[in-house]
Amino acid sequence: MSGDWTVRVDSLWRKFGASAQGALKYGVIDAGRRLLGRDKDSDHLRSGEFWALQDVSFELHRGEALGIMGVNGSGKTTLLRLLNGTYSPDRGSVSLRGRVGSLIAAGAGFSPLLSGRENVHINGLLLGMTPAEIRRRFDEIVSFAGLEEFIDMPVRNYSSGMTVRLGFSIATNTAPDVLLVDEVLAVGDLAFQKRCFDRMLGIRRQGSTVILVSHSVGAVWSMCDSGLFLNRGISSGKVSVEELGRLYDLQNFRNAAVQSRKENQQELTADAAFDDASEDALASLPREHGGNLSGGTGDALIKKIRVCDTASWQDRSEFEFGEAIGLEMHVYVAKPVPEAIFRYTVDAASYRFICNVDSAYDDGLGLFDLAPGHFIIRTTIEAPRFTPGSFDVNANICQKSFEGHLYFRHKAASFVIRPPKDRFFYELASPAVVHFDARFEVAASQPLMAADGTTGGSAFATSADT
Amino acid sequence: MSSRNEQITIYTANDRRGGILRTAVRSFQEVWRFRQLVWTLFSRDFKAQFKQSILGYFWTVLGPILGVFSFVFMNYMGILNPGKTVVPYPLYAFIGTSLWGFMMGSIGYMSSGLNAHSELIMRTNIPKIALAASAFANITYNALVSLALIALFMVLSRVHLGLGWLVFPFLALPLIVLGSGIGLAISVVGIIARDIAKLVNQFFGLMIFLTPVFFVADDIHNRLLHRVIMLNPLTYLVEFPRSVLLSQPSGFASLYLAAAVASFLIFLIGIKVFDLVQDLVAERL
Repeated sequence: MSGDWTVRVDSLWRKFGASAQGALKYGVIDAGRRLLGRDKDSDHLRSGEFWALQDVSFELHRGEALGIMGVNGSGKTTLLRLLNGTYSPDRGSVSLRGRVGSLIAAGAGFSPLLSGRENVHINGLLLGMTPAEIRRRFDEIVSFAGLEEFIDMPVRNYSSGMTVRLGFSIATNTAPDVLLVDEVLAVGDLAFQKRCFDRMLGIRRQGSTVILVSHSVGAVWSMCDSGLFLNRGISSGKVSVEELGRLYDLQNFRNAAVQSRKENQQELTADAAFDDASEDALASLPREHGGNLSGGTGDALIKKIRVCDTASWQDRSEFEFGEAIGLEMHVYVAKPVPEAIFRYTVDAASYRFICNVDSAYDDGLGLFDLAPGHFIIRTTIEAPRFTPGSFDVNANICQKSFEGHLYFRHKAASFVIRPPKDRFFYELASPAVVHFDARFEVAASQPLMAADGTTGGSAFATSADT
Repeated sequence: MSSRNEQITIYTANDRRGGILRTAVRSFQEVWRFRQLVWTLFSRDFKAQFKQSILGYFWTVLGPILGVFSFVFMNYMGILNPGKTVVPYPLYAFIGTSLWGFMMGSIGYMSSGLNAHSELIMRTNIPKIALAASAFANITYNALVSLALIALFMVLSRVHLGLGWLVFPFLALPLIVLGSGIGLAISVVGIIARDIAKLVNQFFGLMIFLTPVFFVADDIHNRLLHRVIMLNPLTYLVEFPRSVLLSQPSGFASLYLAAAVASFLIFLIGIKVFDLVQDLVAERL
């Protein structure tokens, strides 16, 4: 055989029917075609069908670990099931060398009424072990799962953590050539998770190939040496884990921005009726934002906020890390407003009002005197320090002489900061939303203090403070 | 590393091809390769089934007896006139329903096998034919119980228990084989279209009235019905083994043989259908 691959996926396509009825109809048709000696209808989409996977290809070798990420519905599980042979491809092929151990769900096939001991035996057989192998590895399986005292108890009485531990222990003890893992590591306490990672690294060192499907950038980053990102069945191809993290985060940010727009910004269209708003309509606006997304005194009205490219002032929703962001405010002024102040605040995914962009402060107390009419105000945020993520823009108009909002509109627009290519924001998982560049250097080494108060390592003591 | 298994598995869109016999041979090889598992799955389900019931293993004995009870009851009430039987009617009906039960049990266990193991289909990569074959253990077990009960009832009825009883299981085999073939086909097609299994059950629910299971064919005086019964191949699959068991002469040997051959052919077709359609079922589970 040529090459030393263990897993080879070759332009894999797979489709599904969107509705149960369509799936029934096409299932019957495909079964009929098969019975008549023909192939299933897999070249094109029939009405109501969609591609769950499109032209996915990659190749893995001994000891390699691939992380597969994607938002819900991206095709991860379908890919894993194709790798496991549960589903058959519509086009293309999956080739695997050696024994496949699958952790698609640890403890699959556990029989709740039987004891842990009996289930180890059954599960071992299911994973392709011989009875002799199971007997040989039995003690190791039980001790890794930490279930020595409970092994003769019915599995029904196990906690979910115990079940997963036992399932994981069996699967990783079968010495698989290829191990498929589906998000099971999230279960179990921290100590066990640590042991799982150690075990997975161990079986990789023995030459096993690991495919890990996960929603955790951190888990993939620490476990895998390459990644595959799926978006609506389209694969990124094999990329670095850093790139995988970037792609996955970006997708999540985009979805968050779309969601925010859907939830908060349809009000813009409702307010469009205010275009030439009547006095009554303006007077009836909510004064303060107790749960209202927009309101004010009615002296002025923010009709629209656009997030723009700062050069062309065209609509734009995504920016590189640190890139200037343009904001455009469309205002209708009903009554004369002297000494107006335009102000933006920005919300991150989990924090509100993380920063202020204010015409009074930023323009050196430049106050605008507005006559009735329509205005467009353009603002450039020169060097924002937002970390990659999705952000919402709140806007309001105030007046120096009035403590309150002439008009406010919250979550009026949103934008996404893309994860940068040149640095890896591993703290993406942490909730920080602002980033400052900093330098780190070891200025001096302090000796560790021993328990009795004397200094410990004398080698350091000499170099300090000299 | 030399101990590593170098077997290459390839999944493509339309994997399984080859003639009916090749398919059958490959299927048997797969079942044999996983025989440990087949056995373990059976004993697992078997144990689990009875661990929670008061009567426990006694249920496997009770089932066949209850199956014949309604016919015997109707006979005693005079509602059912089965004709003149050579042995006491309860024994005659019990042998008939046991034979019928071999076939229906095979259909039932085989056809529900994949559904019952849907979790394993989704989460492991055991060949589906091996999962389906775990039903054979159930079928065999129930057949053995029936055979023992038949012997017991024959002794209790003072009917001579001879060589016929030893040959009987082999003569009953075509019914099991036929049922398994039908069951295998239903097990895959029935997952795609759920009402197929119901249709087949309804069909055989009617067929029991056109097969001399609990009545004597020659005592049916309606000529049309009698003709239909004699055209029904199941008649010979039931009639001949029973005659041999009861040491009665039977003129049906050649017709039985033809029906038996047909049963094996249907079994092979069932395996082929299973093989052709099996990769379409996972998404319908």
